Amino acid sequence: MEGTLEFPLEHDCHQGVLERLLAQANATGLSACAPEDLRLIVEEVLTNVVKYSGAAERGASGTVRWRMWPDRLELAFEDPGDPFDPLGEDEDDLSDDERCEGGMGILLIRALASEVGYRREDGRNRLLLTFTGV
Amino acid sequence: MPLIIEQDNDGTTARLNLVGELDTDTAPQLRPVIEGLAGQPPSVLVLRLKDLDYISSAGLRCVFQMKKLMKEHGGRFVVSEPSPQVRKVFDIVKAVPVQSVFSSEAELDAYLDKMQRQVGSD
Repeated sequence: MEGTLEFPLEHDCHQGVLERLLAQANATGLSACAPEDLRLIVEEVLTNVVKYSGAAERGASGTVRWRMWPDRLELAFEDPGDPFDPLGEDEDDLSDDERCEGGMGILLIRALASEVGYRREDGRNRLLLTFTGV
Repeated sequence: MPLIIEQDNDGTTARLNLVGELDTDTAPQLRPVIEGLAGQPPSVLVLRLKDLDYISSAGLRCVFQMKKLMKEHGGRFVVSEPSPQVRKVFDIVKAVPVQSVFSSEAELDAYLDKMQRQVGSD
């Protein structure tokens, strides 16, 4: 099962995306990613994009493409924001004081996903995540 | 799901019981609570998470702010009964040392009793 969802980049846009993905996950019998982990991933990715990419201020839309099997989930988040490779940020060694200011979203994404990748193509940021339940 | 914050403070030990979800939308509810604790820091802050079903990085920031607050005032910060999902997220970001996490109310009470006896004998 696969699909694409385009949505306005705005505060709370993660809620609608999550509802759609959870419905697809339920229909597919997805076991590769627990619902609460999927929720965490969607919230962390889209909150970061809305806050920091600059695309929300320009009234732009984001896209999530998914391919889903019971034992595998592939997500591709795309946005037309400023170039930003979140995987280039090293959040593993932040101090407790630094964690008071944030910077844990990417750490969570890296820990929960089986594979992560980033590409800048056609003026868009593309964050690629794969979940295999391993 | 909303966040419900239940507070109990006897002047020495403050307990915060969080019920629901601590995420981007609900984390701002904790700000005034943290500010209140900063104004009159307890000796021990217990964060009870038995009924907290979900936490995101926005909620984790609040946890680290409470941890920092207690450290700055020489107090202790402990976590009681985190749900499996919350425990998993805590472990990923190393939110709280293992020795500061209690898996049951009885375990926590025994720890607090021991602390009070130590203070009493000083």
